[in-house]
Amino acid sequence: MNKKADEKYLSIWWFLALALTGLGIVLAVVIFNSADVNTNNLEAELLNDKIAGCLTKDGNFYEKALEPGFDIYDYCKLNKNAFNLGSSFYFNITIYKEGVLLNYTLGGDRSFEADCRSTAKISAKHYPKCKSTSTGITDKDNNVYIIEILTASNQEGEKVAITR
Amino acid sequence: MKKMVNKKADTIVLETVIFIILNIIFFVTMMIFVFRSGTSSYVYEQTYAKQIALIIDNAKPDMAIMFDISDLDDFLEKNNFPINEVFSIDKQNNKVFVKLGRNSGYSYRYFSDYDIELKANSNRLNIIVRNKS
Repeated sequence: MNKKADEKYLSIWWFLALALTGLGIVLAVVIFNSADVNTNNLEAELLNDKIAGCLTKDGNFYEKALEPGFDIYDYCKLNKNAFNLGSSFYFNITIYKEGVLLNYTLGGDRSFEADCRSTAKISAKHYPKCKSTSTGITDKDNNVYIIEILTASNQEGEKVAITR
Repeated sequence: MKKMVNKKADTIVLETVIFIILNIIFFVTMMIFVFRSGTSSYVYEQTYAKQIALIIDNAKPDMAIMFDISDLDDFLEKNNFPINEVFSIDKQNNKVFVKLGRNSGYSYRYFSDYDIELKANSNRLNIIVRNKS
């Protein structure tokens, strides 16, 4: 007689087990679909390589980059609007010759510089991904220039609703 | 006595049948949910937009890049979506826009200042990179 009463109580646990299984499946699918493919580190590397490449001409340092009025955006084919205040990108170029600072150029969101220093030591999810390089390059007269380039990207992309 | 035994057997069979039917309903519902979620366009939109933006930023002027989009064939055929409406460039804001749904899409910015042209056919997207005039 107690056995019959036990079966009635067991059916509640069965529903609970089903509910938990269903919840687990739904959660797994939602987590999978909300996964973000983050390419910010690749963007920072590409930007760094692009700038480094355009400051070199025929294997030598492009000295005109030191002239006043040199437009890095125009010469390196960078879109100026992508580096306005509040943008998702940042670059910082420092050029030294024999330990003397010759030129300092930056563009984009300047707060990324401090963020890059933080993320050098720890990993943080919504912080920019950074790339820092320091290259020695000579000019035609064999003068050595040190070019330090720091680039960062924190772009997230956006889902856009289309209204007709 | 015989009638009582049969009634008990009937109850057991009925309970078992109801139990099996409820289980089948539950698992079929889960399968439908998972299958429909697996064909979600959002992941495709995001992946393609970012890949194209990276290609553009890595390219040099007067380059033409052929990008394989054959993974989209089944999706586009099933949803009856024209290929020429999927990929576009917002030249004013330097953004790649990928649209796999009627009402929404995904946009991603590239930092290079090039003139970009996209031409899509059934399994390939041609990305043509030129200097801006």
